[in-house]
Amino acid sequence: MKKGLLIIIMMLLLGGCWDEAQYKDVTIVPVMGIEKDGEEIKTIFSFPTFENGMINYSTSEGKGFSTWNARYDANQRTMEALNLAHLEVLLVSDNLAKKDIYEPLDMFFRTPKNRITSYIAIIEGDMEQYFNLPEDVNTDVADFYPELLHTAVLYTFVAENTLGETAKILREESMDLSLPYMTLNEKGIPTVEGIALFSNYKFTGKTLRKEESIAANIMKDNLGKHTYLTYKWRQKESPITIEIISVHRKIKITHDKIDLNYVIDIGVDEFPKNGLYKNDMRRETENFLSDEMKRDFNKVIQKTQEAKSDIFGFGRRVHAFHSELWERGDWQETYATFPIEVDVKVRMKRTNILD
Amino acid sequence: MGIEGNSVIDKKTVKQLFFDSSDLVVTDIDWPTGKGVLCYYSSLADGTEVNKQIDIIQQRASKKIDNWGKTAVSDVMPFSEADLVNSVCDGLSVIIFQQSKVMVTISAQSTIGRTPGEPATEQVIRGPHDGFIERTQQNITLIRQKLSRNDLVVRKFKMGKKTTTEITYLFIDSIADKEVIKLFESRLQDIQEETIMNSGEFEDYLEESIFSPFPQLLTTERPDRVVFNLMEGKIAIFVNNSPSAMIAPVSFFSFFQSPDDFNGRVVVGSFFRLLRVMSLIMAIYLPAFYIAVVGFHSEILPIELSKKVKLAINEIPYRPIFEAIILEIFIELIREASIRLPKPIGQTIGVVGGLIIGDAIVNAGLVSNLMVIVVALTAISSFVIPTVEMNMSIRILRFPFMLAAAMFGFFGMAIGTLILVIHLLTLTSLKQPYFSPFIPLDTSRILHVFLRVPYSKFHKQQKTFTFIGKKKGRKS
Repeated sequence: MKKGLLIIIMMLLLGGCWDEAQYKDVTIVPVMGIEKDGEEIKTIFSFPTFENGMINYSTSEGKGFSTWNARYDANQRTMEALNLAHLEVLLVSDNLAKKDIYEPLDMFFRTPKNRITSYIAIIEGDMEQYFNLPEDVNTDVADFYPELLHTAVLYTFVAENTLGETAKILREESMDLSLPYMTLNEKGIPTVEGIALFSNYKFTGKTLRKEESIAANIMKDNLGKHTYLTYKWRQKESPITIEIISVHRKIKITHDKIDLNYVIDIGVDEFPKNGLYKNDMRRETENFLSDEMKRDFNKVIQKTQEAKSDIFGFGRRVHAFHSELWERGDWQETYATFPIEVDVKVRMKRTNILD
Repeated sequence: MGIEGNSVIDKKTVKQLFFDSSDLVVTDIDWPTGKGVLCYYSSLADGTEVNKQIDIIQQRASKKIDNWGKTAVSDVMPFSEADLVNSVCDGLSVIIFQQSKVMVTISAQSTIGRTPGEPATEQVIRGPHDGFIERTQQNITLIRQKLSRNDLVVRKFKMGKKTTTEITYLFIDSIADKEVIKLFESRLQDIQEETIMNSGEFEDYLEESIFSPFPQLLTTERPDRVVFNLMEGKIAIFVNNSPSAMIAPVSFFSFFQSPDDFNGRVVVGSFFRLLRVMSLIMAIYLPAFYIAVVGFHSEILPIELSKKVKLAINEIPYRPIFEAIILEIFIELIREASIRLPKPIGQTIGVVGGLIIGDAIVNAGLVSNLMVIVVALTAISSFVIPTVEMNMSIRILRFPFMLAAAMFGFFGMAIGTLILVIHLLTLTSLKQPYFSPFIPLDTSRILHVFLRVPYSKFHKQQKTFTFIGKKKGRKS
């Protein structure tokens, strides 16, 4: 009895706190950037600091031959240990992504304490500029990027791309990765510009911009909470803004072509011309929208084929059901030249309270 | 000493027998059948009432009625020293007749007792507002008034030979489990102690696991609660001079029921019962959870909250466990102090302790304000539990959990929970399963634990821990 008690007390005292990480001894890093700097990898961390009851923001940089190495380097000049368990956004520069996106990301998937539900985005140009926001933004990096990307996802500008999703798609031969693409506008404010297209592990340098990326998300049936598209009705006579309510898609794959059949339910959110209560007007508008969307979709298909990037995952079905087609060679090569036909039918479900 | 062998029993010998106590009244009394000695404690017996009764009995004696000594309040018995001592100590007045070696006992005790007011620890909003007092006789009256049935059995058990500790227990014969009563009676027989003054002392003899943090007897001062439990086949136990009844066997969940639930509406009662289950979980786990999060698993906090937490704890000079212990001790001190102090000063302690020191301790940077919130919330939720004993036990329980969380994080809490549940499952109250209805599983009763189920629905008549037949709520 006594011996047992002694053993238990010793176990507690000697073994106690073995994986403790006091929260006050670590620095939480909500935003991290990785870029290529010559042959080395450069990491930038943005984090809040807490002093005298105030929250301030600070950045720290590190260089090394790998992400972990660079992070380690940054740790040597940061007051408290950098903790990536709270990572909200990971920014990767395009020059690094063009080489191989997986290599710098590997460290995130190995240790269980890392957060893999953080957003990942590709940036254009110099990483440092993205960590020095102009005065106009009036908020800090650590808050800005998470909110920015969250809004982009809500409004279907980009799909919800997390680190975990990224790794999943990267490992798959039959589907290609697409990540949010950010640029700086003329005032130096970071903007979610569209989608960066990947072919296998590499960023192709080709992107889908603005409406194209929304169209791509509609084609994937990957809608956010709100999806709006604006067209010029009857050659600029009147603008029309529609909200996508739901997308029904049918994919038919044969050995010589892919047929894409979309039925899209929409609501009208802006249409100063009015008159949608008339049947012929309504039909005309539906037909107009069908044609416009079909053209947009075709443009998206064309761009992805140029980039040899099957972001829609047609390859999955081909792999599963059309082995003859799959075995024709590298799927990305096959996809680039494969005929794809798109057909869109728009159904106006809501005209909202005016009509 | 022994006066039995002595042929003379007079005032002097009786006085000697009671060590010449000054509140003992010993007088000679004339009687139709010869001289007698009247003795009683003036502090226990009501003198005027004694005089009245003596008059009545005297008249009966002079009329030569058979068994003149036997009336509703008096009795005749052969004289013996032990009986004399016991009777007088019980508050009876005794007339000793020297020649015939008999004595007449008259029960005319003076009653000092409170009126049966509502117990302070178990107040309800709706429902009867009476409570037990320090006299068992009155307490049984309160119960009988509520439960007028002939199978309500009252049994008395006198403990020891010298003193008059009396255990009174009640049960309903047709509902209570015979095995349980047998076990209870055998436990009573096994008690060797001569004097038991408190019900708490008695609890130790009845409980199976004395060192368990959980009470295995439900203590209450409310007659309606006792009646309710009697109707479920439980045994109610009164110890002389104690205003609380103990109820056994009970399950863990009996401690979380308040008479308010049963008087209130179904939806309201159910809501508060769920709230109580939640408060139980909070009272045990909240500080431990906070300590584990801050010490081990900060990544689970959402980023906005995480910044606030970090801001609060960044400049605290020591580990969260010490922070928590400082505050917990502080709150326990306030609580303990305000119990002992008279009410008006007690409130001052609340204000000074809670508001002034609470604010100052945060400003001084000894404790983070989040920890104050956590500890205060825990304290409040622990007071929600309607029975005092359980409420204390739960408050004690959070300390081991805090330690486990400080050393091993969530893992420690999981191990702690495992030990706690194993303990609860093996615990018994009068050999009946404590964690019923979960183990052994009774699906029909599980709902009753979390919700207040309408009475008009079918339910089973409970028989201690088993059931007999079905009970129909309403003619339909």
